[in-house]
Amino acid sequence: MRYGSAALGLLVGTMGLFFVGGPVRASGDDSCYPAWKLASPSYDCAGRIALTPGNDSRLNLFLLWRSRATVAEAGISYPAHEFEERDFEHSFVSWAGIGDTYFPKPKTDGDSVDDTRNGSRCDSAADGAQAFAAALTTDHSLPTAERDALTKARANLNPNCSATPATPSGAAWPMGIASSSGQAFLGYLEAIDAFYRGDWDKARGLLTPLVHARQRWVAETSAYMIIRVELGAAIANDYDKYGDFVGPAQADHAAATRAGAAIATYLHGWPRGSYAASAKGLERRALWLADDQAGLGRAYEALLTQTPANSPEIIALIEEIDAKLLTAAGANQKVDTPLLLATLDLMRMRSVVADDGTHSAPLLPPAEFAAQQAHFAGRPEVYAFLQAAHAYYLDHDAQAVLKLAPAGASQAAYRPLDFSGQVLHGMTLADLHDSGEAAYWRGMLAGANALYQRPLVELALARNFERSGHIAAAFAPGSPLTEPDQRTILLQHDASQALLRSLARGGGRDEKERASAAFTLLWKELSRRHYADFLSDFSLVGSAAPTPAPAPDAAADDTDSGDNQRLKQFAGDIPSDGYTCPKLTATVATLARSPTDANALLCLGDFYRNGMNGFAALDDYAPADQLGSGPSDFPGAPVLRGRLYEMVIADPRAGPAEKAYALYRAVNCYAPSGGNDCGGQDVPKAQRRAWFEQLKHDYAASSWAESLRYYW
Amino acid sequence: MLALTSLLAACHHRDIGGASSRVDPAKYDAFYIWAGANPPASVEHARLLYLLDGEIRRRNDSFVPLRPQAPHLSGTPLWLVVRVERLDWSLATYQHVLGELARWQAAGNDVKGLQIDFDAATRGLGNYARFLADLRRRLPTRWRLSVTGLMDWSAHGDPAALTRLAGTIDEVVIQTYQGRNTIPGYEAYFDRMRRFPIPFRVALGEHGTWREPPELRQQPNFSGYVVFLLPKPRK
Repeated sequence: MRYGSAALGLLVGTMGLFFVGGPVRASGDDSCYPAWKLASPSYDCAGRIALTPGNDSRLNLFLLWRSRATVAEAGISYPAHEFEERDFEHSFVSWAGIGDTYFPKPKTDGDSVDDTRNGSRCDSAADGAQAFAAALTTDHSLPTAERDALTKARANLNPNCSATPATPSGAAWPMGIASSSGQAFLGYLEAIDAFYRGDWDKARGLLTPLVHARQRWVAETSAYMIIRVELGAAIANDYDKYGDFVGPAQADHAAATRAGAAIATYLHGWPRGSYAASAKGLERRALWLADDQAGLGRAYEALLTQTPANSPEIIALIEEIDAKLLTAAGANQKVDTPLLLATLDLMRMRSVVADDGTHSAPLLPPAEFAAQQAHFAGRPEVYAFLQAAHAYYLDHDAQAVLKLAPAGASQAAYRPLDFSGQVLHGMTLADLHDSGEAAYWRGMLAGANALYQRPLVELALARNFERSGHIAAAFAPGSPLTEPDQRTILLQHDASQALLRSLARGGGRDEKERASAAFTLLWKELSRRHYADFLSDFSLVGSAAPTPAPAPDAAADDTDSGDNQRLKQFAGDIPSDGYTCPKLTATVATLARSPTDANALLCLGDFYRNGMNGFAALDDYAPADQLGSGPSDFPGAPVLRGRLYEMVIADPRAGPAEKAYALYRAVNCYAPSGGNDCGGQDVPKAQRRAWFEQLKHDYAASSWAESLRYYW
Repeated sequence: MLALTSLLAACHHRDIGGASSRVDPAKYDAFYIWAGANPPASVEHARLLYLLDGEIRRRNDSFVPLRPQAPHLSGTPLWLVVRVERLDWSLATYQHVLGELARWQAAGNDVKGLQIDFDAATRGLGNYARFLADLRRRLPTRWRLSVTGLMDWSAHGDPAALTRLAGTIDEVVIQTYQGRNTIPGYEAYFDRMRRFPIPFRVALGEHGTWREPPELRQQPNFSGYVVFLLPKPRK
């Protein structure tokens, strides 16, 4: 697909946010280009603040969680965008953006991950040694000599958790430990040695009787360590031949289940024990490794309920839920709690796009979906929304959507779930071309004041303006459209010459919009061959204001100076690579008199080619359902660079120098790897070869024929 | 943003005159396997593997393991790859890395050597060369030393800069991808690789576009391709 702009990461800083839009990721570029529409049927890197199948599952879960109550957004503001999300402005948001918005972290240099942990059970060894030493000290029944011997033995343990398991212990255990406490501590040390060596059976065997030791620290710590032994045993053989961890499928489920039982035993015996928080936290791990997806889901749902609305811990919790359950095979059939099930259902409502571009239909069988209703007894409004989403995205049943997500009265604020239902209602009105659609969206504006909500409503309104041909009203004073990106799309694709002129001469919202309108007007007058208009509007170049400083939160490449500098290029010389041209204005003046003048056409081509090639995208349209798909009020069809060369090649009156250059340029459209750099329809390779041969044969003496070695 | 139409055209899924095509792992026999990459079945036939074992990150000079256990791939020659963000290693870090090599060897693998994956900006190459020479001295002779070569896509990207590493390293693996995508314009880079003095492989991104530059296979030091396997994207 040609529609869409592609920025190489390399070109950061050279261009302002000039051209927006495009659903396609270009090669060499990890940016996310949003599709400028509300509907989101397939996974989309650009998420919306309304629940949609296309949203990242973590984003959807966050929105569902945040719908329990109205959450004040005092002190929250839009964050600066990562480079890859620079096109989002305030209309779209990713999961990462959610974290940045609601729980901003101070900027740190590089990773903020604690790198000192290596993710093995040896991580607790240092703390364990300290706790052991402290326990020795506080047990006054322990003879000093035994205390010293035991301290030394612990220090000599040297845990090595990456050694092959069950290597024989190298530890030398002290002799002559006779006291009851001393024997308990010694037994515990042997068990810990086995634990670190990964000898699970031995560790379990040693720890089990110690739970009943009279030495209370040993008893409690042994009960806790049994949990860790079973969790270790559960994953002992859970690695593939590449050394990667496999996960629950290959874990020892019996050991994981025993770990869960050990947790319950510990918490029962020591409800406010030293390890209670850790043991509680390990419950999820035990459920996960036991592959108990239903149990894990219930544990997660409870945690979601318990997490306060403004707690930053929600981010890590949602990521864990997503990694361990939502993306796990089979979870669909096991999870039975409302928020998680709703998130899973939305994922299943996605239409999946394969690598080759083919779409597969969503898979949420009606009978199965109907049977889920009982699981939403505590949150019936969630299920009602799912039904409306199902009706919209799967059944394409407009009347059902309108009934299931009825228009609410205008509200002072919308929770995400309510907002999502109202958006579905409005989207359906749009699909039906309902005459009340615009009023409906306008009615939502006052209440859509949570971050990201209003821009989405404005997007719907913008599309409504566009479809109904009311572009001028979109820019009139009092227009509800305030989002800069959306306004830019409309002015670039749809605005008439008169509207662009009026915006360029001061009617625009700000300097950036004024410059954007000026550039668009002049560019399109050139590409659509309104040469006389170009010349009479040329004064707009001179009125380009001095470059203002970028706004403090502007993204790295989002500089207004780009638009003004680009305007000045219309006034500049046309760079020469051996074919000399006058300034652009002189070239256009020639074309205004004589539109097929070969030299002038080639010079216009050279103007496009030298640094202006990118703006050919102004001559594209968005896909039919997106903002920027027209209808356009700008007259004429663009004549792109490739066509200019074809015109000269076909012109019997063109001179040999012009013909030769035209042939050279036409072939070079496809350098260096066969891709068409000149816009418009690709010409078959046979034609490019014919041009190549014509150049070599008919104009052999020209420098162009001499320097052209290949065709592509 | 520019709409660089040549880029967009290179992304077309159709062949342009039999030119670019998508990299299909099934057609190659050497692979990069990153942590958690979950290699597809087509990798069973691999004759050479590069496995990421861990990282040394900018913030903290210690080895961060990313592969919980040693591989058990006794039939397939493999390289142990360490991704590096800083070159001022402590003694403990060197010992850890050498220990990893020994551990993989002890697990029965045919360990060819150590590969360092480090993004050396052209300016930093002097420092990097010194680091590598020192590392070579610490590395037992039975293991070879390889580095990744990241194509520098500024106008002055020049593989000649890597030639100063000849004599210290045994191979360079040129990475033609960034994230999930093939870096465009690689043809020009490979033009400048004629008579490159160090054995080199070319690493391709799985599903990236690739059109073999003419004369690549005739280069005497070209040792073949390696396909970088991607983790599955969210869908």
